[in-house]
Amino acid sequence: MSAPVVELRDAARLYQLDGAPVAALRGVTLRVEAGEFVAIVGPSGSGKSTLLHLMGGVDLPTSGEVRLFGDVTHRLSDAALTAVRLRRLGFVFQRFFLLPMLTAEENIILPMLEAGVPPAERARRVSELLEYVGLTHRRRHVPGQLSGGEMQRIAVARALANAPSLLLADEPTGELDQQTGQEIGRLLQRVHGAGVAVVMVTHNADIAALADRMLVLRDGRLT
Amino acid sequence: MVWFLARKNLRRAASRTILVVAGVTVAGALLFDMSMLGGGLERSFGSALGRLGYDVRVVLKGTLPLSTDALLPGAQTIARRIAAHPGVGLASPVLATNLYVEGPAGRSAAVTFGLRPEVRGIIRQESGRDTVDGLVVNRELAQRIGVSTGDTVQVSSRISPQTGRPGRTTAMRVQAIGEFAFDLKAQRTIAMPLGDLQDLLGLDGEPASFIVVKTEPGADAESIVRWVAAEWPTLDAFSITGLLEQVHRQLRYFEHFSTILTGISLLVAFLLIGTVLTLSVGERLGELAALRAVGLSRSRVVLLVLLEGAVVSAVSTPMALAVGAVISHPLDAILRATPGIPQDLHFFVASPAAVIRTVLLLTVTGTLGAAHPAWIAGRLSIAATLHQEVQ
Repeated sequence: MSAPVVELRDAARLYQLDGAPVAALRGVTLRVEAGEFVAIVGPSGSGKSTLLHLMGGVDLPTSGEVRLFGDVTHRLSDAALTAVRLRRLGFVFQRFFLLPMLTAEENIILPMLEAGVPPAERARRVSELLEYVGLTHRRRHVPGQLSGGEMQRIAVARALANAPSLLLADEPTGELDQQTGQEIGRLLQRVHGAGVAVVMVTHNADIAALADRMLVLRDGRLT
Repeated sequence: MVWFLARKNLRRAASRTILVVAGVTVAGALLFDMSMLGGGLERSFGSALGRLGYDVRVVLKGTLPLSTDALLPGAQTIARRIAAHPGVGLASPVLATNLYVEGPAGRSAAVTFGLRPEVRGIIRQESGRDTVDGLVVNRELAQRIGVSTGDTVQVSSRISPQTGRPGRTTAMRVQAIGEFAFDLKAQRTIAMPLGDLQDLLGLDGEPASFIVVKTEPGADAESIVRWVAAEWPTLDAFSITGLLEQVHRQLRYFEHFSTILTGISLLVAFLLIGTVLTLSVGERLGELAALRAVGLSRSRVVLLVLLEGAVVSAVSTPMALAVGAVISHPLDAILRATPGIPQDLHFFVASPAAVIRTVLLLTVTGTLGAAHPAWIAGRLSIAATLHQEVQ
């Protein structure tokens, strides 16, 4: 059996709310293999985003552990976790979080710039990624000139910029209409088809159905 | 990449950036002016003294170095002995007093210098000559009493307060019209050979107000000062450095004034940059959290915000220097109009040190102004911020 890209062992996340502990996740155990497409569904407030943040190393469990590419996240330094996110992970957000003053191609280039990818290689990859998400003609447009679906496709291209092994998508269709959401779902399916493990949090059952495996989260527990 | 993002971020809110740059430019202009003012008069005075080349001045002990009230007896003999000292190129007595000069258009009091022919550079005749071997009248006085070169004037040592009649009077021919170093605004000045002035005043014993000394190239003025002090306990000697220290002590209030205004201008720049960047960071917490999530390190996010502050300073600095230089002219003119200020002197003197000080202070202030917003950006929790942005 291959090593999992991300694994949670009895991971829990408690928050302090007005001095009282609130459990967002309770003892979640989960393993995502390389190249797998997993959808996590559940009602609002069930802990889906928290789970995704733990998997992406942007948050740490209060108990249990999360192993990201074999490393226990709470034992890694902030710099080491940042490096893992930069080079091995891609994030797609519900609200896209494209930088509004940058063009589509500049947004895609950002992670490559940070990773020190040489200019010629950057130019080649950004062209490939724009073609991959079908937005070559929009490369010089800023987010304000793009539709919601186009912005999300650019965000997917940005997430793929440094050829990650794992892509984490937090409600990627949450801001989109049904048809555009389906397009994004199919795009993530293609990403998975290219060998990238995809973990997608969604409350859209149709989109979740595109995944290999669907997990349901309720009150911070996988059911 | 951080540089690229910083520039893009500042362009993104262009009108806000323009306003903060304008504000920092104005604060920076004030800062530059205060840098020019702090020590400007000293630099100007030092430069004027340096140009004349007389680097030691000898006065009667207890009198201020620039005072001409007390008379130094036997000045000619002392000057000869100083001139014979190794390292001294020239030592010459100068007598300064007030006389009355009467021409066709009236009578006027005039500051008067008695100079020996070897003392050069203190006056500049219209012909270009800079020595005194006859009566030289400055332009202000020449206009006032209606004389020009070749005319004869009556020069009196005093006017009787009872009768209004002049005392000892001598007719003298105006040899030249000239400009005098250190003339005050509207000051009326004449110069004549030292012996003529001593005779006119009826002074015996070759007294003078002070002795000017020019050292040989490479000679140490301070060692001459020490030697004079040791040789003549009744005399004080001042080098240019010593004179400037005196000026510095007398003009310390300018330094305090400039320090206070420098502090205010730095505070204004700091608050402007800090406020605008704090607002800017607050507006893009979600973006910053997303940048952190996609792989920008905490230190790079901090650097990004600090750089934005530094860019505001860097863009403002050249404009601040230009605006400050322009503003300094009318400010200098206002201060130079103060009575008792020699017209050759300036209060606002641009110098490489003033420019460097302004550039450094603005850069540091810009970066410090960005420190608080950078701290906010650096410590934000990625997960909590992303959560909040979606709520």
